[in-house]
Amino acid sequence: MTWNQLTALSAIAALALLPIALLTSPIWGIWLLLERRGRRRRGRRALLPHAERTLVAYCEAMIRGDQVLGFAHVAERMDRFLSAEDSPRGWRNALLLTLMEYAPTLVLGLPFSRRGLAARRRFVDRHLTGASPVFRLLTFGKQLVRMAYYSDDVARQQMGFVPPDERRGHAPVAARGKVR
Amino acid sequence: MTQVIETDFAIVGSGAGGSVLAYYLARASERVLLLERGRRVEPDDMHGDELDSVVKLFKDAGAQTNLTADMFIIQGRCVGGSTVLTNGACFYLPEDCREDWANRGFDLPADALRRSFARTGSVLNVAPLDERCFNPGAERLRRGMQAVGLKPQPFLKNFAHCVGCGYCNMGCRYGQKLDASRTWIPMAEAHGCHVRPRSQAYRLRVERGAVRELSCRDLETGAWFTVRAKRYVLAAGSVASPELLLRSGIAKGRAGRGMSFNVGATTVAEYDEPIEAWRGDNLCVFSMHDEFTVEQLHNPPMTFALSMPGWYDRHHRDLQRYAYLSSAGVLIPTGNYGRVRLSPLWRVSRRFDHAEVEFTMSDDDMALARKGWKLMAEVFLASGAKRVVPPTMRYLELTDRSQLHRIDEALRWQRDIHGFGSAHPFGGCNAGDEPHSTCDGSFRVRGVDNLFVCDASVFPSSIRVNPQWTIMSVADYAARAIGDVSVPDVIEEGPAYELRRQRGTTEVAR
Ligand SMILES: Cc1cc2nc3c(=O)[nH]c(=O)nc-3n(C[C@H](O)[C@H](O)[C@H](O)COP(=O)(O)OP(=O)(O)OC[C@H]3O[C@@H](n4cnc5c(N)ncnc54)[C@H](O)[C@@H]3O)c2cc1C
Ligand code: SF4
Repeated sequence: MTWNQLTALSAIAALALLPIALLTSPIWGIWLLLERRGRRRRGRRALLPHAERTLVAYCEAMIRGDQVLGFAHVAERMDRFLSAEDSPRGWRNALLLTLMEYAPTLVLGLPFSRRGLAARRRFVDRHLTGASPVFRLLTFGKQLVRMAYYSDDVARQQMGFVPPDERRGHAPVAARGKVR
Repeated sequence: MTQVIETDFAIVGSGAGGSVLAYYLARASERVLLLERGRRVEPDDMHGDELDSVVKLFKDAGAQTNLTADMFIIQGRCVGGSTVLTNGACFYLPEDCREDWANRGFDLPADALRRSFARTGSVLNVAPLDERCFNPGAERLRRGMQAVGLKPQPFLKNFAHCVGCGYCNMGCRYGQKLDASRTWIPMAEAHGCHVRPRSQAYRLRVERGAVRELSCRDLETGAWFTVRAKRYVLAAGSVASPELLLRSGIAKGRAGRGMSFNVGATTVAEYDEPIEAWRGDNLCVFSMHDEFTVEQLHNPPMTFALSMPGWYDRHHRDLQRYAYLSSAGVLIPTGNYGRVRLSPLWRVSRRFDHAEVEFTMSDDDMALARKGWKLMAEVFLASGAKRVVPPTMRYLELTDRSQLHRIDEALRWQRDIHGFGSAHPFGGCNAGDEPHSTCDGSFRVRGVDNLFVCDASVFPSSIRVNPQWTIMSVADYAARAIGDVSVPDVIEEGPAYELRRQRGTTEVAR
């Protein structure tokens, strides 16, 4: 599936659901308001609470080895990523997070973050790891999760990485000459 | 009222091509306006937070992909363009590529090009990487290469006093990488070139065979402005230059065609003892193979995590062994069957107003890639690695040469490759006399008198090696054709020249 097909499918799904959406608009209208308020309360700029839940759920399923760091920072970093990225393609990443949440409903399951850990992993195993054509685009979301997680200082320390300035024998630039 | 800027030359994009051209034109006392979509960045803006750097310096925050989302296309978006993100590797244009281009109608005479390389090389301070900056993985890889009959060499780099921090792809916070933002651009500004960051060129208006004006947008204020110039040069890189032509309805049926790439994905190897390959420059040794280039590439943590295959606990556990791991890649040149198109809904909303890249590797290129990754695994095993993890979607672990065939089974299609991508896109505004060539051999867009292209998008084919020096040297060569300006034999300004002068030497400074 290509980005264009995904956008088209999302648009068709939205159109097909339009009558229901109109009928239920008071409900989801309130939901959207609450989501936005939740975003403000959490101090986020781009990431809505439901997308945050999805992200953390993917982290819990995919980076289980982690005991130290927890996943709250991941949402904070993803928010920074989504809000700072001023590209016309940026909305795709936000759309991707929403689709990652609701993709399991295509195979008649609960949304991703509403599932238990074992069920989440089963979904990832069956549909994402093998990069099946339908879900292939979603595997791209795996990289978003990893990007947010492994760019954190604590995650880097856990990997045994030592930043340049803290390395033994690191020659400060002043000693080697500054270029103007 | 819309602001109108009048100038002699309007150059779109401040990367490898645009910056060099801006310098020569400004030096010849032309009025030059250099438009750049990204921000201006200084060494102090760069730091160890990879996510922040990616957001600040990379196009689409590093998430630009092809249409099928199974390939990353990584490009820069800041003053200095992708050159700010390079590992500093510098290569000459392989002679067989130059000859092939000449046969396709894009003739860059060998002598003139050699002089261009010499001139640009002196500004960039191109010299072999200082071995004191080598990371500990480099020595092992060198041994592995020798053991399988490859000839390892240190990279030529455009550095001053590199301290080997390993963060080149996030911009040099020590200001030691002599990319365009440290060389050509300040040099051009010293001659009066006006650089306008956060300004996106949007559409060219053509009348009676010539561009009359260029509509642009100030990305800070959202205000539109118009540029009127005697000549216009597109140097926005291999996706954005054809995108601009397509959006302007220029070179229909030709613009966007003929894209090629150096593609790759990293292979990871684990050793018995910690080697801490992150101590040092992350790209130290390479070896030229007839068909591709084998290059060491050891990334800092976030980028490494993205390129490491595997899922779940295995992925996490592997990363906890980061100190024991080393990685490298193969640059595979592809055919020029890629294509840039506008998104079908580009007129509907700004959200859809961007280019899409269509690219899926042909069977022949896929076979070449498999050959490259098998060789890569062989090199690592010969270097003493206890296991090798090739870039496969389905996790694969090789501990012995007899298992190399498993790479063939695991990598049948492009979508089977983990972390597949390219930082070296070429073409889209190909120069030459082929049916799909957008530009003639003099960099001029066919059918438009005062419009030129000067960046990687004119390359008729992939060049198999890292391209920044070639792009700059081709821009040096192009300055005469595009600007009717004369180019000096030697350039006596810029940071590299100052370094040499301080040391009283004509040799490149380290
Ligand atoms: C991570 C990374 C590592 C690399 N490492 C190496 C290396 O070690 N050695 C090497 O030789 N090469 C390397 N390269 C490749 C090299 O940097 C590029 O091939 C080269 O810079 C391309 O030059 P260019 O002029 O075509 O485009 P770019 O350098 O990409 O410049 C294009 C500029 O145009 C701007 N632009 C685009 N559209 C518009 C618009 N509409 N309006 C205004 N501005 C616009 C962009 O923001 C960008 O700054 C690397 C690239 C990357 C991304
Ligand atoms: S490795 Fe050298 S050139 Fe690259 S960022 Fe570090 S100090 Fe700068």
